[in-house]
Amino acid sequence: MAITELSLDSTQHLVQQSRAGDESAFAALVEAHQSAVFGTVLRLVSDREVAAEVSNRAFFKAYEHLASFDELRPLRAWLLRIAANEALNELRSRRRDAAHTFGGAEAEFELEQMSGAPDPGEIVSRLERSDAIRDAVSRLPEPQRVAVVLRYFADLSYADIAELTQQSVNNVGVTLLRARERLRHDLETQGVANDGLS
Amino acid sequence: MACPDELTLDLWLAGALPSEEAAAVASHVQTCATCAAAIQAAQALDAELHAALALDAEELRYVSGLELASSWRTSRPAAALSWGWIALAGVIAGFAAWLLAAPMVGSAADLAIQVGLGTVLLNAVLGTVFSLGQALLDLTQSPALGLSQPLLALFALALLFWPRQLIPQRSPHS
Repeated sequence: MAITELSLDSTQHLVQQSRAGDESAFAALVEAHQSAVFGTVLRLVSDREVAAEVSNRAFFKAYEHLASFDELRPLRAWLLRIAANEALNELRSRRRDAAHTFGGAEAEFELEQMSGAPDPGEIVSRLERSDAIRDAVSRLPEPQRVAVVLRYFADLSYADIAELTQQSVNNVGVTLLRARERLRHDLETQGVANDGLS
Repeated sequence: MACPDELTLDLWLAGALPSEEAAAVASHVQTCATCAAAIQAAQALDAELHAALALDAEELRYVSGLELASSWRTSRPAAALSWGWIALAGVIAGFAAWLLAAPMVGSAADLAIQVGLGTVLLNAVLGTVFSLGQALLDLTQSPALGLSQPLLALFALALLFWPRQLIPQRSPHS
């Protein structure tokens, strides 16, 4: 896929046209940022179809709220914050449904089972290291996975992550430290060769 | 300055430390081999996580095929018709009905009383119906939240009957 890179001027121009109701101008912005938005959502919800649906919702919401976008700030970060927010809402809604279906700790257990417990030997032989890391990220507890994805896929700042996840910047740092520690441990358990993680 | 702890170093690398503390860490790490090694390891890890989480070629093809540039419009939600708007429409409709019907049943004073009473009654009825409906929904989804709704329904029922005590009974001949 050819990713359209937009200059700052082009972005501002397209934002202004979109604000004036030009949907084709907004479509150009979607084209330029669809991979980042979809990817962020996908890494959070771990389901392509759901990610596509949530991405659509995020773009629609962005279009509706374009008036509140500060043009002095990067559009990408603004879009990704909306996308992450929609993905988090999706996760919360799923968690509510799961809790309703299974109830409390049982739900956590069931979700863990649904995410697919790893078979270390099989995974190591089957996956490349980056696949193993991605797999390990998908098994992180939700708060850690959210922080890791927002930081290492979406490139959001700690302040942005803190605002999105309603915690302090320090707590974001602590969550990320714990997540990396858990990833190291998980990869070591699987015997995955490593560079920086373990 | 002693070596910063792991969290401080991480926040510094992320540019999330207050400027004064950041300056102190910056000046320390310039001369500390231990911290320099920790920073190098952290940066290698960051790079590895970035690379591992990036969309692969197959995922990029998938997102390309989604045509989000056109499909985002399809998630435009249908105009949400909330219970609040339905209740308001009901009250307005009731009010209009009372206005139309009142001249046939009484004087101007009666009209004022009936309009006022009609509005209150209609509001209470709608409130009761919607509160009970919402309570049923909430009870199926969240028992804790659902507890508040029956109380609201009881309150609405009280509103339904209480205003009747305030209206003087009309004689059969009036």
